[in-house]
Amino acid sequence: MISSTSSNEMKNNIMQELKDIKRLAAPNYLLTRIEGKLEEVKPLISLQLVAIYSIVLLCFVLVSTTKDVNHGDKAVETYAQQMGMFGNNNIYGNE
Amino acid sequence: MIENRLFLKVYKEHKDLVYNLCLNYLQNKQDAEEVFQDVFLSIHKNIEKFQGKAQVKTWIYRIAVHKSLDFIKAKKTKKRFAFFNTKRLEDVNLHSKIDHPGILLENKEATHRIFNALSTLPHQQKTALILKSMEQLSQKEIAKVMKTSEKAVESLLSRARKKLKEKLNETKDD
Repeated sequence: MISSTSSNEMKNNIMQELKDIKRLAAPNYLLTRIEGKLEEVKPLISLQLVAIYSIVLLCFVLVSTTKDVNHGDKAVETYAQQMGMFGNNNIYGNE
Repeated sequence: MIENRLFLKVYKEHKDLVYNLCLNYLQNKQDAEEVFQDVFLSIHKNIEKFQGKAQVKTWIYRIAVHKSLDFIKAKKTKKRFAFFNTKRLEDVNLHSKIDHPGILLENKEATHRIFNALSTLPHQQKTALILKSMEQLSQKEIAKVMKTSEKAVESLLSRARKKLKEKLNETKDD
């Protein structure tokens, strides 16, 4: 009985000691530090802007590639015509 | 300058709660300030996703407990690796000292003994005991923070008190 009473007393003392610890206000400089950290983490250009630029660049590359291909075809065709490589009825037509 | 009004509101309302929990958990001012920053950086990152799924207070308590635990685990790992570098080992030991500005001078010795014993408890028991005896949360609130049942919290608290008493008796005998 005595031992159980002293055990309970001890438990209560421990809990009281823990309760007695003073609660403190967070120092103001901690918000400044958080602001600093957030500035460090913040990306220089937003992800949305990067995405928009990527799409525009992709479109530009696609359009220019298609143009090149068409232009290339036309150039070869013209060159071939100049060289007389395509069927020209007039060459032997008059004979 | 932080422009997120919601974050500033949450910060103002919960800064003292987080600061005291970190201090009680880590028992060192410098460590507590480091974890305090991590907690609010995490809140800032996730505040839009939160959408009131739980009570803000419970959510914040949960983040603070997890961050404190992560910090302790990281420090233990550092200690293991610092074995190869004596200079770093000194740094790690320096941070481990109890430096809690809330402890009254007349209670310093007794509270330090309790804190030392508290550090030896398993994390779950330590969390439950801190939330109950230092943060004055109810068993229901603790169960919500720890994502467990009230029965489990009751059992954790009972085991924690028993173990703490044993540890204190051991140190008393030394």
